[in-house]
Amino acid sequence: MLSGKLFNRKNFHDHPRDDRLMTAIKKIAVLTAALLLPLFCFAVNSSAASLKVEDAWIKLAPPTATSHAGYLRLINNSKQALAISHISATGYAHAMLHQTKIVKDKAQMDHLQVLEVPAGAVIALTPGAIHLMLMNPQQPQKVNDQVTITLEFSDGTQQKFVALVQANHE
Amino acid sequence: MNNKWAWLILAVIALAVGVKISLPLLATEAPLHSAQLLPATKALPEIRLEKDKTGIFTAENFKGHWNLIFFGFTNCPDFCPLELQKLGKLLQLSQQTQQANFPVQVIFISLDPERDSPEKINAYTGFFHPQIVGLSSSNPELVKVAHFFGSDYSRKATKAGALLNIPAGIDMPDNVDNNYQVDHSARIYIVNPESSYIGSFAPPHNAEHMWGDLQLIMSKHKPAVL
Repeated sequence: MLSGKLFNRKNFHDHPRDDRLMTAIKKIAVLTAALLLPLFCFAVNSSAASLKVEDAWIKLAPPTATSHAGYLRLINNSKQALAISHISATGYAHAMLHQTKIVKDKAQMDHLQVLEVPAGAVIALTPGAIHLMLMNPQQPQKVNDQVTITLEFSDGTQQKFVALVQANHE
Repeated sequence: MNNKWAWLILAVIALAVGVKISLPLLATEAPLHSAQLLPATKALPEIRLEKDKTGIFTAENFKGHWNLIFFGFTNCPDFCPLELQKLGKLLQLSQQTQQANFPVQVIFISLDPERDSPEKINAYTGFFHPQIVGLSSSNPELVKVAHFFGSDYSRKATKAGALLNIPAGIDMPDNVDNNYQVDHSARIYIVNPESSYIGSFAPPHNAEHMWGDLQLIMSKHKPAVL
């Protein structure tokens, strides 16, 4: 039987032809693993690679303000929805995703646990809508300051970008 | 002869009908963009708001100005700065326009007395325009003023992991997480130079539109002897 011959270790090594076969299988396995490794790495970082961040800026706030707001545009060029589950920003104790809503003439701010960016979608984070809430700045803010913001996706991957402090952004 | 009289009568009737139709059209004014006026004005009640450590702001301080009142809090990173920027722009527009009416006074009332000291409020409002008046008061006084305008507010805070809803007028409990939010009215309220509440601007706001509306309201205003 073929199965008996192949999986009987003693018999397998008894034949030089089988040894050559085993060496060939090992080479193919190593080669395959070598070829698949970059693909595996790409898959892990696919979230970050396929999300484009544009026009990222932080609004210059009054010097006494303990929270600042950041705005940007997210473009998901992939064929899969991406979910931002956590954010952090250099120079701030905490950062969150918030959404301002006007409900029955009342302005309310909701904390977004996750922001989903559907496949092929563009989501604009703009004043009076979804925004980055940057809390407890460690230093006074100045125009043209650069703040590095890290987006963390639900699959564990991360993406960093720089946002510029501006008084206004037309 | 008969024909002549008939034509004359017809011409008079045509003229009367024409005048009747066109007069209301000529009298039509530009519509208000976002200002909504009350059917009847409401005189401000007795109020005591704190301007700074020594200054008390009462209904008397509204007199002689066109007052625009916005409620908010200085820890508000998105909506309040956006609105105060528009109100600062409106104040600038009003100061650039020559007018024989009363000046515009923009008033920001903080609904967060636990975190917003008068000094902090004034530093905040001064960033948007040096003449914006920043006020606050105790929670019971704030709820009285807010409710007079038909404005509501509430606060959401966490304490030891539990979510608390603190209604308007109640002091913030001790030991809550300091990063709480205040949900507040998105309207801008209008008080006339006789310190009567006359209406409000509904959101979304635009400085030029509000200034246009306010000029229309001012043009119809008959000042009382103060």
